[in-house]
Amino acid sequence: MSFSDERFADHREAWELIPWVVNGTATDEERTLVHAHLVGCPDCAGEFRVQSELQATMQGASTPEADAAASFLKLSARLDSAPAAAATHGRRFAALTGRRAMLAVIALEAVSLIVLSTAMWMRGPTLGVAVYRTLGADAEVPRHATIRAVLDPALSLGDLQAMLAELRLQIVGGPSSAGVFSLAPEAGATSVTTAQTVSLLRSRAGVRFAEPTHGGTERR
Amino acid sequence: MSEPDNHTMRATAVTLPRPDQMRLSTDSREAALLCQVAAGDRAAFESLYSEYFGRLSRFLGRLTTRREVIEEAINDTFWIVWQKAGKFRGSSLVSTWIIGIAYRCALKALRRNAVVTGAAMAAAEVPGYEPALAEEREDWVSQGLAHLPIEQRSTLELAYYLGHSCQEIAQIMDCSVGTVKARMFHARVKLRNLLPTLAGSVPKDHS
Repeated sequence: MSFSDERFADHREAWELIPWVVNGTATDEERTLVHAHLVGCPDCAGEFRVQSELQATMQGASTPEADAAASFLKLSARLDSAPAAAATHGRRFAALTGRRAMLAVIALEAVSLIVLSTAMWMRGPTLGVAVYRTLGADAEVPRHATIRAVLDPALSLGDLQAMLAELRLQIVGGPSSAGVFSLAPEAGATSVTTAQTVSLLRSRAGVRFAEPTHGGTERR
Repeated sequence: MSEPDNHTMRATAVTLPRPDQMRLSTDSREAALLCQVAAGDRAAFESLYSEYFGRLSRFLGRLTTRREVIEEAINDTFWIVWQKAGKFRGSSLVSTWIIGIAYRCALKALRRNAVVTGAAMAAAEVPGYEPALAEEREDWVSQGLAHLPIEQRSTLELAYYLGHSCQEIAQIMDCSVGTVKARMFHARVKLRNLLPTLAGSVPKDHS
């Protein structure tokens, strides 16, 4: 492939990637490629500007006026007139209350931890006075929780899910204002003691702190 | 010059959550709502409906201007969400799943109501129309989009208004990534020819 062929291939690739760089969904590698190409290609630089303006215009466009509440009432009436469909919900819920529901709660809690950590970090300087809290000062620990833990905010959701599944733990509370999660064993997980589980948690890179609550049962 | 105090230094070190973290946050919240919907929780269902109503109205408003067709498509979408919430397997974002349903419902509603979308909406007003003011651009772009086939218009709307990736749009529109790229390519070329003022120059031929 000649130098000019290579340049043409780069140009085509960059041109094709521009919308995804503009809308922020391109990968880091794709973004780097496009921005490097834009420096020496006025055509693509112009196209990037056009697509950015198009996106800005489309994002700013007004939404047609509509009454969500009135539309929902119509849908509710439709749901109410279909009792057979409602009855199936109970059965589906039975299938959902186990692992999927737990994963959704874990996902929500993990995200809460990230958002809360950011919020706490941002709030800190405005207080002017350092406020020290001990983890033990948190009174919001559910009665059935056996372990309190502080997780590394960098811990990915997938790793968190895998770790909890492996240790047969579930999140039953938190994160508290101090960022403490309350954990409890899954139903039927009785072969390992709380102390052993705490020890295993402490050995994990994504766990900053773990201790028994003393409120839960000692045997898992 | 005095040194910055600790508070100033901490304030400059603050980093806001990245867009992908915000997306994860939104998806987790919506996944939790979907779990509640699967359990038959009407309040959660209404919350989810309210969150999506505006977005879907706007997205479907690009496909038709008829309010009753838009409402019909949104309610058909959420009828399916209510029925199928328990079958959502998390293989995509919740938003990708719901908007994919909405796209299919909209196509059905348009067929059912025999709505002529592009030509009727466009009214052949674009050529020669060169708005000088930024406020007029929205109107102008709307007219340009109305000249595009429904698949190309939807691709642009999904990418630029709803912010979906190429792969997510392929899931929503139930087609290959290559098809999404081709639709985006043709949409851009056609818009550049239709909207030379936005392009700021004579359109280049990339076809």
